[in-house]
Amino acid sequence: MKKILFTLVALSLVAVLALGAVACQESDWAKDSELVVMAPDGAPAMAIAKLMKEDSAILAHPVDYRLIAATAVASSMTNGDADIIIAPTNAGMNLSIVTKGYQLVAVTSWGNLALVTTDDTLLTLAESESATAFMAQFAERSITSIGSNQVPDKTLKHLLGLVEVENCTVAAASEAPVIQTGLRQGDIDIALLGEPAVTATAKNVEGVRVLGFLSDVWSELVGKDFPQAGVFAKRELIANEPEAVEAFLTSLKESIAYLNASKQNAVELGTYMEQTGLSSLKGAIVGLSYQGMHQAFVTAKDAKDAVVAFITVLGVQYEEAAHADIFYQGK
Amino acid sequence: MKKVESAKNKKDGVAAFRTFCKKHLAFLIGLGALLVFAAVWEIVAVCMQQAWVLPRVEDVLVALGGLLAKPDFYRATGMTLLRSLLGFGIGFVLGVLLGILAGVRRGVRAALQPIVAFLRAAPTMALTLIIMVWFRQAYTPVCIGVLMVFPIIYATTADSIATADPDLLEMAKVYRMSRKNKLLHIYVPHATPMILSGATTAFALNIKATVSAEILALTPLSLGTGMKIAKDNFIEDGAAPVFAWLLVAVLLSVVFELLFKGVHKLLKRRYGNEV
Repeated sequence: MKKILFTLVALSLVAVLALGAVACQESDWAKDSELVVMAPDGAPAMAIAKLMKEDSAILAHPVDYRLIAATAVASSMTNGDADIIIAPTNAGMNLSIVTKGYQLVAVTSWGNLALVTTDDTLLTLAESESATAFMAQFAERSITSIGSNQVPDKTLKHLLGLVEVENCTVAAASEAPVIQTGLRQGDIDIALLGEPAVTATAKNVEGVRVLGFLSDVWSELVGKDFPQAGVFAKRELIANEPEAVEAFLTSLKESIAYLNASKQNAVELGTYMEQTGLSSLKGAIVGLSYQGMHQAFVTAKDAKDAVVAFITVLGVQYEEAAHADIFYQGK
Repeated sequence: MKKVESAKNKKDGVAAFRTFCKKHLAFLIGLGALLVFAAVWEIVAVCMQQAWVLPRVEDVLVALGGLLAKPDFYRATGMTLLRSLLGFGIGFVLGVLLGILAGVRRGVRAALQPIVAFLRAAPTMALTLIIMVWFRQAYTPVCIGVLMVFPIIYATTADSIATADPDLLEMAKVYRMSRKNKLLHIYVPHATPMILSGATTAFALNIKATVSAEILALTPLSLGTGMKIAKDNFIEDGAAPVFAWLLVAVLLSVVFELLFKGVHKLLKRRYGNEV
């Protein structure tokens, strides 16, 4: 009797769990279920600032817009917490290859990294004859870069290597405030920072000049654009709700166009981000730096060449035959 | 006559002041040390003239006032406190329960030893990064709190149970005392002061770890995220807001340390020397 009872209870539990799992699975893609859109704090998040401000739905789906720490991007993609996420293109592509859970649907950030200096003798990119000459002046110098072993550090080293700059040391600092203090105290004289920290530093640290954007150097030396951050969507979402993905991309394009339309819009969106209490962005600084964030909407299909060139330099093991389907081709 | 009365009043006043000073000596010394610390800080800040490295005390107080004027500040601090209490509560209950088991059963203690040793030795930042992969932003600080509190409370409880007076235990055996009575009259009075002392240390550590995890995980509505945003904007706003957030975290920790001490005193008053 006991055995029968035990078996019945066990079977009931299994049935309840299975039903629950199926219910969850179904509710995931119900036409009015909530979608989670994530972006790391900073310049990439400005792409969705208008959508966050207006709490825009995607078709009938309410959306939970979340700002996350840059360190949480990988875990959010690995766990599948995000339906749509803005991520550094190299990291996002790598995780999409490994997890097979996401597709690149668009590229939104085309380079927010700039070289800054307190040294009066260095020429800006505009003043230099060419990108090669611009990079060559860093021979025998030390550049402090944000993001050790990440996009800033790796791309800078790649560009220095392309021009064969001799004895240029690239020192990595963990975060912008460390570099800003170094520039102020005179311990650092050349640094690589990302917008909006570039503008904030030039505004607040006496003698700091912006030498040029790394994306411009990249374009000249590599011959491709600099797709720094992209938008990745869950494959399941694309398969089950292609209309929702298309609707999101249309809204995203409008959001970026609104940001780029005027300084006033940029200040408005920056101020909104500031008021969320979750973002380091500030309205006034965004108003001064939005153009340097190089936000522009390009579909994954159109950005493919630039992305492949970019991620190959950054060490992503991309193989056209095996991984081409990561690029979303549109509905 | 009046002169004699005034001299007597003066004497009484001096005596009352002396009694007050004697009674609150530790507090007065602490207050004095705090004032000296603030004075040294102010002097160094004025001499350095580098507000982005070391802001003046008054700038920090102004920044603190700015924080206090924002409604979001109270929500953020309240949520951090809630996360800390939740992490502490779970860690405390787990620690006490498993600590009691480990105190009375050597096998349990041996089995838990590697886990506790791992939790004690593992760097908080590394644990936070792993927990971030497993849980959402809001849960990471709570989990870290549990992992900070559990080993301390567990070890304190296990040690205190294991070191209960053997004579009393022998007597309890002779008189066939029930398990409940043994627990209430031998183990609890012996273990409570040690556990409370451990809890005070654990809570201070818990607040530190919770705020660190909030900074790393960018947890919505949190003291840690406030601190991170202040740090990211230090070039624009100076370092005073970072120090102001730090001051809030320290104050929270101090308030709870005092609360724990108060609870200890209350228990002592209620149970006399048993606790």
